[in-house]
Amino acid sequence: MVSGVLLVSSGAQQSILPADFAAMAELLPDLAWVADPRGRIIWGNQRWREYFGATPETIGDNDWSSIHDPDILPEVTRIWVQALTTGEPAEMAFPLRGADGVYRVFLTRARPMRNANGEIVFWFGVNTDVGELHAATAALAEQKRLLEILNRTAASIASELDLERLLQTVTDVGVQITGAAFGAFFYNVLTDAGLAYQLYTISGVPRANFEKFPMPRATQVFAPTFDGTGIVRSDDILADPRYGHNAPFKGMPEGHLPVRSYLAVPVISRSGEVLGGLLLGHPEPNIFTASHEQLVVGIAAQAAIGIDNSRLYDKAQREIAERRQAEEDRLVIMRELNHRVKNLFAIAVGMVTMTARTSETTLAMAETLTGRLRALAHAHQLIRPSVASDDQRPMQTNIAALIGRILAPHVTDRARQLEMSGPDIPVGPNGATSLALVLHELATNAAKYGALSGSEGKVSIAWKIEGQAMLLDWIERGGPAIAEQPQRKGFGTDLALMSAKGQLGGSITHAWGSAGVEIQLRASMERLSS
Amino acid sequence: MAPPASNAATVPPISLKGARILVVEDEPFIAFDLMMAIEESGAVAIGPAATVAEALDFIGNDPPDGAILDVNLPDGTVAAVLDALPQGAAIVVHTGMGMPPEIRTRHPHIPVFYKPTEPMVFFAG
Repeated sequence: MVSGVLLVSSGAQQSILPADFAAMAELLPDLAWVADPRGRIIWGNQRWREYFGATPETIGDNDWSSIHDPDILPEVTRIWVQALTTGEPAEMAFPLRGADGVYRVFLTRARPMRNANGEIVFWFGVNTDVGELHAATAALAEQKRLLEILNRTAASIASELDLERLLQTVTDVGVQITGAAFGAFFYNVLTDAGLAYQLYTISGVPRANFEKFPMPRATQVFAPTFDGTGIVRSDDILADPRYGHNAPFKGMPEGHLPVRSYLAVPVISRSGEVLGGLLLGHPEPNIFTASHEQLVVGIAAQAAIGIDNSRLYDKAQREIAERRQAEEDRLVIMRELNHRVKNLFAIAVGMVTMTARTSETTLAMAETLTGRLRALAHAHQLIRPSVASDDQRPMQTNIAALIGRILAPHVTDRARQLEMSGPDIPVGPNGATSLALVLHELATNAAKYGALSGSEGKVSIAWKIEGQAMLLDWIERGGPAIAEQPQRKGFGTDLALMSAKGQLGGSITHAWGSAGVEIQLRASMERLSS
Repeated sequence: MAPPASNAATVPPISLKGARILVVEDEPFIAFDLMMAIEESGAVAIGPAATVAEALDFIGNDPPDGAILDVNLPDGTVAAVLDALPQGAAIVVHTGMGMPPEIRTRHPHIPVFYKPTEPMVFFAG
């Protein structure tokens, strides 16, 4: 007689489970059982009994329908019947309900045990709890998926310099990674003028769903996000103590997407500046977990780096463009200046030869020439500052400055001898040169023969704008009495006449009265400013 | 530096004695200097015309035998003056900036002198 455990009688046959076998089965960490050749469980190890809440006496009573998931039961039954019919081992993973009412997934293996005649004596089976393994595998797969998303996000953020596309990526990933129904990224834009406005990207729903609502304000719900003071994660924002305190809406505006689960993370720059916030929502409560929060914090950190990069890039691009512009401006000024210098030399050469032709002595020539060259230099001096400085305005001066500068060498007591009045009129490089030479000739004549020849005389210069022209009256008083119009006009007068008619597009007239000469100069405003 | 002056030999040979030469130049000193140089060489100086309009008036009244022309004038370029001058007139261009390409294409043989040029150089040919 073999030592063992009498199991049950099945029909005429009695099955004896060898004692060694039973002892070994008790050592297994799994649920182990024995079934008779018809498939009825006749023995279970202690773990098996504990799991199903069976005693050795009630083992045979267990009801398959009470321990199986009804959805899977037909398949389990089919496989088991097939094994019993063919005598082949069976293997399948399926959930089993324990005595505590919880289903756990087990990998079940069953094998037939045969006697010397090859007849199946009983079936031996084990149920290995693979629930944790399944959960761990699923968790690993999920972690892998999330890591891949994060990696892709990091890569695409690192290579994306366009801010709006970058923000869209971040928003999309936030929604994807948390299972949110919708998400929005609100980004604080600082314009060059120092104005802040909010740009936003939307994911999960059409942008139109948000367009009719105002931008989020510093309410109790939003403040931590946009102040950068903290993360807000709520299983049900409607039940959150921070929700619904602010006028005018006291909560979400009417028609707002339904939000119950809420997760909002601030996006903060290296510099500490709050760049914006990533907001996620779901119409069901209890969606966002602590690990979602961690992931979104990770995305927010990536976003901050991306935004900082994008800003640096923009700044560099702007700086490059500004430098290029400055370089071009400098070239334009250089060309203008070069042109002007050539022109000045041409005038100077003409001035020297003409002055030589019209001067009686070398000394007189030197004196006249010096005066003319100085007038030329003064005109250049007045328009020069805008060339030398970073001032980008075209080379320009105004008429009062020009008159003052040209007459200065001929006037000893400016307050008494010179009176000037008229509106501000801009004078360009060409206009300045022509006008300076004309005024210089008038001043030279006044100093030689007219009001500025003594200390008692006075020149009044008044100008006004008349249509497209400037009208300048030069009136001399207090000089030597004039008997009559001079017989012979000097070269200076020819010069002034030609400049007025040609370069200044106007005219010049002289009236000699006994009190002094009165000269009227007309010049085209357009030519003056050229 | 400015390119060298064109070969003065391409100026059609004219007898300067009594030839009437128009000066078109808006810069008075240069204009008067040219006028006097023309007179000193035995020719008759006409002008100076400081604008295109004035130059066309001079040409209309009494077509000259030759002309010394600035390119850029207060009321435009000298192109219209070139077109108005009689065929066979001896023309030289006297400029600070050079001939604009569109004028150069129309008048490929006109000699160009860059300012400042000694007035007598114009008559060297």
